[in-house]
Amino acid sequence: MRLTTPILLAALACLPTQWTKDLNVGLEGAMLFGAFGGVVFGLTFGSGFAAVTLTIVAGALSGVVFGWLITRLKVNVFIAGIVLNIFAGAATVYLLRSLFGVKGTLSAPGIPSLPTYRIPLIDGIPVLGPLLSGHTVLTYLSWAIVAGALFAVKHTVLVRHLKAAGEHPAALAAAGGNVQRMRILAQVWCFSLCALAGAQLSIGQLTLFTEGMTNGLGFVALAAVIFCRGRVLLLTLMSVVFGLASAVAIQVNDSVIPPQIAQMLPYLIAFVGLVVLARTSKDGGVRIATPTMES
Amino acid sequence: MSMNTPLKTVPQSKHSEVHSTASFARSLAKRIGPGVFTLAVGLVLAVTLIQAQGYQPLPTILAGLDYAIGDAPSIARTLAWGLPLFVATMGVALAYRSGMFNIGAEGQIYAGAMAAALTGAYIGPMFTGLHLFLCLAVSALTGGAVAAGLGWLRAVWNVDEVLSTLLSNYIIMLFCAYLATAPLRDPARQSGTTKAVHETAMFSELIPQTQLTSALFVVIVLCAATWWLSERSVTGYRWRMTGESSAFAAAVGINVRRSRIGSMTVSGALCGIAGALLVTASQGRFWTEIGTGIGWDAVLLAMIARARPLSAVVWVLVYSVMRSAARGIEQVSTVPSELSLILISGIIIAATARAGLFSRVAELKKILIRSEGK
Amino acid sequence: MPSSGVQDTQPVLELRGITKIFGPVVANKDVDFDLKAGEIHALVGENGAGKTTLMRILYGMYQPDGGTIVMDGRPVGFKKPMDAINHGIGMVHQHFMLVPGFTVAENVTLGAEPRRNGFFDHAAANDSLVEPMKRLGISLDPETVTGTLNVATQQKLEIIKVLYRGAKIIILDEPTAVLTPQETEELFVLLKTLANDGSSVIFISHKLREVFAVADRITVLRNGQTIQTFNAAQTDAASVVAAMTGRTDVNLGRVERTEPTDGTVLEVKGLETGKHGADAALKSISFSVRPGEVLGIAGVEGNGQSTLAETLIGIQPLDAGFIRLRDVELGGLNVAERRSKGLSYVAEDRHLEGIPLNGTVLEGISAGLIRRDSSPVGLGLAFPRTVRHWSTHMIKKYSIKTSGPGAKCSTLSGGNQQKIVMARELEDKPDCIILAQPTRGVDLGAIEFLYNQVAEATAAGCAVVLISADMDEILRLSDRVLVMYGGSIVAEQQTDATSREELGMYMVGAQTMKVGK
Repeated sequence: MRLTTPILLAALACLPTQWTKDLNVGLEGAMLFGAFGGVVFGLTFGSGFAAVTLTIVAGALSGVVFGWLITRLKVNVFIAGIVLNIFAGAATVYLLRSLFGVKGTLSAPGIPSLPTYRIPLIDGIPVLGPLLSGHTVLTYLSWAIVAGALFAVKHTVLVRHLKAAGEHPAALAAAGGNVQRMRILAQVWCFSLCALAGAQLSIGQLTLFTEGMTNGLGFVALAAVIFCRGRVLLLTLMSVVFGLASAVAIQVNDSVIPPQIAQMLPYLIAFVGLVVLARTSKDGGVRIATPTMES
Repeated sequence: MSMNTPLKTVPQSKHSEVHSTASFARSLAKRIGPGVFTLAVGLVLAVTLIQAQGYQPLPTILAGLDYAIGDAPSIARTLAWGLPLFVATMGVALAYRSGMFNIGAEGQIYAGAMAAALTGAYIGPMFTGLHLFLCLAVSALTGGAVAAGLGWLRAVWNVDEVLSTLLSNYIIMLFCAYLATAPLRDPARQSGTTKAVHETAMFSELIPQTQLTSALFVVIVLCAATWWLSERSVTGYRWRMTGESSAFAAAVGINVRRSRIGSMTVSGALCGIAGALLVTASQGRFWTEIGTGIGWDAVLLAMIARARPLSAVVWVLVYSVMRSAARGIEQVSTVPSELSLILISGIIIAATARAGLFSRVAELKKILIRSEGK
Repeated sequence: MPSSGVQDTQPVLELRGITKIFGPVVANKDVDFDLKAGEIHALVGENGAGKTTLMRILYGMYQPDGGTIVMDGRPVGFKKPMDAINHGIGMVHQHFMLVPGFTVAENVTLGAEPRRNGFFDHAAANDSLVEPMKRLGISLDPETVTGTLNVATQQKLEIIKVLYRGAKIIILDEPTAVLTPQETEELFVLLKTLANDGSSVIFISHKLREVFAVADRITVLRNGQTIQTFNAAQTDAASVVAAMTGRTDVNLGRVERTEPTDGTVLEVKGLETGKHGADAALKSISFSVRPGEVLGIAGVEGNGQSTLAETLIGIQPLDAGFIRLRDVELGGLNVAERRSKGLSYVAEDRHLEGIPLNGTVLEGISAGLIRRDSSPVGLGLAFPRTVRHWSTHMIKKYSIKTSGPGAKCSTLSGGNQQKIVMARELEDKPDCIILAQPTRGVDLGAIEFLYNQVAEATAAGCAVVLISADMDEILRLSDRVLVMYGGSIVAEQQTDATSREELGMYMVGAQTMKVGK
């Protein structure tokens, strides 16, 4: 269950960017910043709540900047995403060194950890108890977001506009909608939730920050998003499956299955899914908006 | 122009000469302008980041540059580090030109490195030239085979190559890591490395103590060959047209599938050779983090160079110097060498945002002028 | 027949001295235009005359660099489409502004969704369609997914959408380009109904027959300037063409050609394909083309014409049947091999298939020469001096307006881009050429030039398969016409023995004749 929450949050983060056809491949980087932000704000204010709130705010602001880059300044979102991943890896190292003078891992007693909550009734049930109860507030929040997303897809104008901005932006613009605002909004959502996903890693499950601690989880989430093509329930299911696969990699004994092979599972599943999708769908599967090489 | 004033031919020609130099200068400025702009952004970023750490920016940068290109051995060291990157960037750029976003360079480099390490360690020792050739050839085949498979999936089954190459990175890297930690690990050493290659599978140093090896010549030949293949040859034309518009290529009788698979294969082969160079020109064995990031560097550099081989060479040179200078800076200060990655990120965003940024500025100017007019 | 609802009063809309400049290009220069209540006012002009720019300014998509928009006597300024919509202006775009994955109700209400408690109100959205549909006398299921509707229905949906937003002024940008003759008639009835209700219609077109069929007044734009406004009842096509082109010698009738000779160049029999993409699959297609003959293939788009073109040239595989060019079986060959056997192909989508849009003129025009490089590896020079000289010569021969072979194709006008394609294909000296929509988006002058090139090729014995959605093109150029419907050939007629109306009946599948040999 543990690795599921960050993957699920990141996948949900990415979902609207898929609707607006600005698939953000920088989940890994955004999560890393989120993890770093959680620790830094946590150390500074000594409170898990403040850490989470400020991380979200910082994430939202980054989302505005990122959205502005890809809309107003017409930076290709795919390039921007890749750069974000590399930038996050380097910038967190730089900041870790300059703010704390630490190399590698930042671990201090001052870093708060998010409290876990037990759900009274369910907690007692044998298998379900440990599965559903005793998690951080962020885990419960991720479940709430799944429910919210399911409702929003059916009943809100906002999701319709997000989808229209991706599927036929000119139609939305001609009808008086604001395509740019929708695209930026999707990125703000993406960065905010990635920030949460990161915070869950650094102050939810552990109380430390390590260089590159997201360790490919962002790409696992991305694989889930690609696999599910905008369908919320399937995405949730896939995130859980990938989360379990990642957990297997850590917990299972080396002699049963080598850890590297277990870690490979989510990528293999996504890869096979990609191939199956291309073979079965009429319009030829997913296509990412790659940049043209002309100026 | 000549049609308007056909009678004044004599002064006109002199005038047009002046005019043409001016327009030449303008076109030169147009061509170099973006590069200057992006480098300026990089410089400003560097100054800010170093200043933020409490060091004098300019002396620090100069110290770094001195470390990178201060004297012949430094230049050789800087170059030696960049050698695999040149080859990998060429490979990625070649695929981009054909419309194939091979962002699986990292995985193909690992595959190539593993192949070279195994060929170097388990075959031979033998005649040096032959052994090296064998290592590079096996790596090229390995990298090429991986990329060709992904290219085939794109060309025939329409499996998006961006996503498939992205996912392939992790699958290959994890698989190599598995090989190096379990079945093929060097029992004499810590976990995660393979056996050292034979001496005959190593390039010899050109300048002692700098790691600059005769692999330099291999790299130069590969870069030149890639340039010819991509920009001048008939095959390059077919690949470029496929990348430009596959529908056009299909309509005029270019075999799109063959172009896609072919360009991916060569791209993967180049990345594989880059991996082989990591082993045969410096490390001497495979270990689990042998090429961390080089594939992504190549992906980014090929993007800034807009997949043009010549500007790719220039950008790799610039980046190698930046990277080396960042190491120099790390030695004289506490600024981490990740500085170079931060700079390159900033530079890419600046380069891709430049057009949008300038048109925004022009718009603002227009509005300003208009409001002043009122 | 003009509508009768025109009131001779103050105009509801006036555009005065509109100027719009894009960089070096003056798209609109001092344009005047006015619109009365209950009027259908046609705006005509060639491609690039500035019609679309003018309408986008009116709809708030562009800001004018000069001039004013006056509505009901008051100057107004539209910063965005929403402002125009709020002033009762609606636009039916040439490329539909409908989200394919949305339902009919979602598309109609997009941008002005009925809400309940802040959430999308499905019931109210469905109800909101009732009133406009009643006005137009049509009926649609609001829950249908838009992408599954046919083109004509999607266009009606666009009009419903405009009415839902309360438009009194309706702009239609080239609305008939995608319609059959019958559907066009239906559209005109709708427009007249609207005009009789007191709405005003701006009808953008370059098809003069349609303009005269529906418009009360006609305003002509050329090179971004207003040339003249005609009363439709008091003028004729020749004067309007003269105003559009600035020339009086434009030939709009049949292109002069030599008679076809006996024999068979291309023979197609029992062609069957599977379904690829949006177009229909082919069902047992058979025909043959004689030397020097132009065989027109008419039909509403989506009835298999694109599939036919792509199957003939070899981009799409065929499941059954054969294609023979001068007794050489082409079925199993790829595109390059078919081309080297003497087949040429002008593809329908110029920007995607005809030229490399971001490539150079040289790269686009010399594709045929480079194809003949048969070396297995292809490491030789792609553009040796001879190829470059040849391309310079071709630019002169086909009077392609460009700065030189190194210019980017995207900087050329549509007509000049199409000349690149024609030069490449005709210089191959083919036995048979397939022309798919060869003059789409090309101005009248260049069309004439291209037609003459085709006529020259047929005089030399080249057989031509002309696939076109433009009925005028078929009637002007072809000797014989086949009509395609649902992937089959439903009619065959000699061009001089048929009429637009008769072909139209076959095109919509209302009638079928026994075809085949």
